[in-house]
Amino acid sequence: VALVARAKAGDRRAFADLYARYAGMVYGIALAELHGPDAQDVVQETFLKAICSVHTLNDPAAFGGWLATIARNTARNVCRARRESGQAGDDPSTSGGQHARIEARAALDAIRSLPAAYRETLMMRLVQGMTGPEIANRTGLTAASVRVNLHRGIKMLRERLETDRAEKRV
Amino acid sequence: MTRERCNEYLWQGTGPEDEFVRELENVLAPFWYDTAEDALELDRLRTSLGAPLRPADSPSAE
Repeated sequence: VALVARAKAGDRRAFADLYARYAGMVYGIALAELHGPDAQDVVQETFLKAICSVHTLNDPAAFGGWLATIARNTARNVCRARRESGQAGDDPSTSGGQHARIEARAALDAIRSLPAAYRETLMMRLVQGMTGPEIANRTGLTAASVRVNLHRGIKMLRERLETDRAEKRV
Repeated sequence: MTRERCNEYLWQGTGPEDEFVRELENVLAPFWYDTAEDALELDRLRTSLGAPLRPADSPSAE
């Protein structure tokens, strides 16, 4: 809260600290919608928008949720623009070995097919390595909600990946 | 592994490992976003896009 108050007052160093603390959350939200390079651009754009409008934020304690909303809107805009231009995008790190490529792509696609709350939470946990309490702290969600998102999300993900594997075997 | 232990690994990232979660962590590791590496990009973007600097954002405030 103190950091947000300092950022609101125009303290650039405070904003850099907020970036270090919240970029993982923003990236998780973006990666839940978009491929890697686009997701990284969304992180930058989200923080740029936040810098320009943080003075409009009334409650510093609501910073995480406010930032998450900016990230979702930004990601959706990029997604829409991608669809309209017919550009699909790609995940760059999938250019490795054949075996790893298929697994990473299948995992990312399966996560992206989950309901938004689950896929965002799982991206933060599985890609950024954030713990449940960290996710709750950054997003402003209750710990109970994060637990539910993680547990139901991983259950659905397990079922989908196992179904995919079974279908490939047939 | 019991369901409770599995949940705890998913929740905290510590304790007895859930093999499925661990495998996903490994597979998705290349997609980790290095915020330290990208931190400077924020300044560059702001400058290049001409985002307005607020009064206290001036060098004297640092």
